Amino acid sequence: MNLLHYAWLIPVFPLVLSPIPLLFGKRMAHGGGFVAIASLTLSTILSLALFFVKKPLPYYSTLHWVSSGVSYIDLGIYVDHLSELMSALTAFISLLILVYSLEYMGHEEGLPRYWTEMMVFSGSMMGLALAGTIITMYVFWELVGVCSYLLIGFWYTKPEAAAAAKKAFVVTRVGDVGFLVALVILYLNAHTLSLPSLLSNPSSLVISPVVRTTIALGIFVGAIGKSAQLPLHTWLPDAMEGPTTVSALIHSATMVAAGVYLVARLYPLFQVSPYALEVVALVGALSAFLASTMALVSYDLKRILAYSTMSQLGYMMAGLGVGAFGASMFHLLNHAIFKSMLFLSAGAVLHVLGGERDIRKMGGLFRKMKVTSLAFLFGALALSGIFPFNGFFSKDVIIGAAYRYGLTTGDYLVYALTLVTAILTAFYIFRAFFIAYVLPPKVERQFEVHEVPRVMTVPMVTLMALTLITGWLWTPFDDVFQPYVLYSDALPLTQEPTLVLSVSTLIASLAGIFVAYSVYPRTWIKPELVEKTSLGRGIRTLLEKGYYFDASYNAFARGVTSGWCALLDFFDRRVIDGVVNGIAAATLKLGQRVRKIETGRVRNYAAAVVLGVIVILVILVVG
Amino acid sequence: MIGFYQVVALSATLFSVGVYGVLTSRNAVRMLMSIELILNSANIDFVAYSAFTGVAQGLALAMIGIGVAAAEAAIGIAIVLVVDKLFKTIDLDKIKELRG
Repeated sequence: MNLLHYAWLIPVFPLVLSPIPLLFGKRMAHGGGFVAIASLTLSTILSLALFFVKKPLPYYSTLHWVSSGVSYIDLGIYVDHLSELMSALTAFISLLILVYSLEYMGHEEGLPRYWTEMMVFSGSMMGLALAGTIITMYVFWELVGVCSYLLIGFWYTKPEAAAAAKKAFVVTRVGDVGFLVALVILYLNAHTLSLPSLLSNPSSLVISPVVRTTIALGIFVGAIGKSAQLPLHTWLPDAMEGPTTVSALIHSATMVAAGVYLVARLYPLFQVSPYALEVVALVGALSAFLASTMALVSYDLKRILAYSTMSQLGYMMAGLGVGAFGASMFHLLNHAIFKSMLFLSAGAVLHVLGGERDIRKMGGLFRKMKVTSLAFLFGALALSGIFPFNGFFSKDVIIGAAYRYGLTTGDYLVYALTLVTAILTAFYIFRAFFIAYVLPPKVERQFEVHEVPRVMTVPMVTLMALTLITGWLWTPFDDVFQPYVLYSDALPLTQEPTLVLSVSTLIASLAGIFVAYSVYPRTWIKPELVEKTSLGRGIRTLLEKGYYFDASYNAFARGVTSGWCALLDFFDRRVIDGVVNGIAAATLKLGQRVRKIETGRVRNYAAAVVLGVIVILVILVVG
Repeated sequence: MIGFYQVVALSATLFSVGVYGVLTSRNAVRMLMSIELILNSANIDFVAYSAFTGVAQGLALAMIGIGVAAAEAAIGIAIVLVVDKLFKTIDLDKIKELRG
């Protein structure tokens, strides 16, 4: 029995079983939660088993979906190490989050709906990972989008949640248009959408380099939308209105990872497209930097984590852009682990404090919630890139690769941005840690703080262990990860950073933590210093407003779009309707005139007949 | 002496009287009678031409014309009766349902 023939079952388990909670959940324990957990367990087991099966890779299988004359649109499955890693990661993280949800979401109304949507969400993500043709990818890509819409708007009676869901849907849809256009251009040029042929030799399928760049950039626009990179990032902070478990899933292994995965999956296409990778690197580095600055001033625990996600995804994009393919995938894996852990910890805090998200109203949690706080600390250390947590290993390689990129191209901007971001990252996450967990509470508590039950701590502890383990997959001494994940010989091999680079990155991160330590618990540096200068206040406002991206989008919508709509409205009502109504009115007038001929008197008709005959006779005689 | 032209002139006179009657009469029965005049003027024409050229078909056509006129008269009278029943009048100027 070849297990590969059954790989397609990995996404199918949760997708097929997903209606069960919705249909029968009301009569089941936990609203049908065990169905969801069981289906994800099956997916996890199957995708983990794939790791250990000796097999020829890549495995590719299709079936015709739409046939039209000589051309076919195929649905397919494509298994190589990259898709295997992605599906296993998604299945495993989703499973942990679902277990955690048993308690976290336990008393929510509409729980069956939650399970069904989560199952479709993670199932679609695994389908996206294992898709064998780009059209299959696109289908699952859209399913992921629609599930994120449903889940962010889970509390749809709350106006903010409904608005956030709508925003996430619309903003990512802007990116999806780019993906769709790229897909059509690709099909028109290459006449195929199957991954193996596109990955093996993209430059012979699409001859023109300009067209290749157009396709690559279109795909990247789709990735920008999903992965919340500049300038389509605005949905991500607002998406925090959804349940924290949903945020954990969106921010680790599903939704946002989809964009990075898409670029990685089609990396050979980017490699043969001039300028495409430069754009990817620049957008990634800028997103990483700007997101980390926005996180500096936020007091919303979940928003800080959201900005950190955007920032870390920026690292991955920058890594892909500078040619650190393996390192980016490594960071994707590590980030999924520590970011879901951070969100689970934040969720536990929210659970205990009745949904409070403002870090100024938390404080002093470390004593009462040991496991939760330790999970956040581990996550913060991993996020900052401190040895020996997994974030250190991957971030280190990416920044090293950015430096090498600077050496070869003379463009050190990416390196500078990623290095500065490392400092800022360490600062903002430890700022949140100190204020929310370590410092004594500043306000009276309405709820009694206690550790969350075991069903919530076990997933956190599992992830804590993993943050200490997965980093060792790629060290200067032993590199298991990179040869595993490079699915083609044409992909660039990332070199280990030199010791000086590693140490400087580590020092940068430690400096960030030290500054946070000296500002918040120690108050050696007073945060009020910023408020005293007008420049400080200006920067602070700029960051709090998120560089006015939202404001300018709204202004754009109000000004340009409304104006354009008014013009179209005028054209429709006055010009098009005017022509139609004018023709009708003219016909009516003419009819009213002409009907006067019809007198209804027989004698008049007889006279007309006689007159007619006379006229004909005259014509005959004269003619 | 009654010759060919006199007969044709009679036919033309009858036709003109008939057309005048159709155009001027307000009474439906009178109009019907005027139509009879027009038909019979045609019959006279047929007979006249047949007699003076010696071709027999004209006579046959005249016989058919008389038959048609008889049928037309029967139907015409029936129509007038129905019109009277519906509108309580046979004054054609008062019946103008089809006025636009």
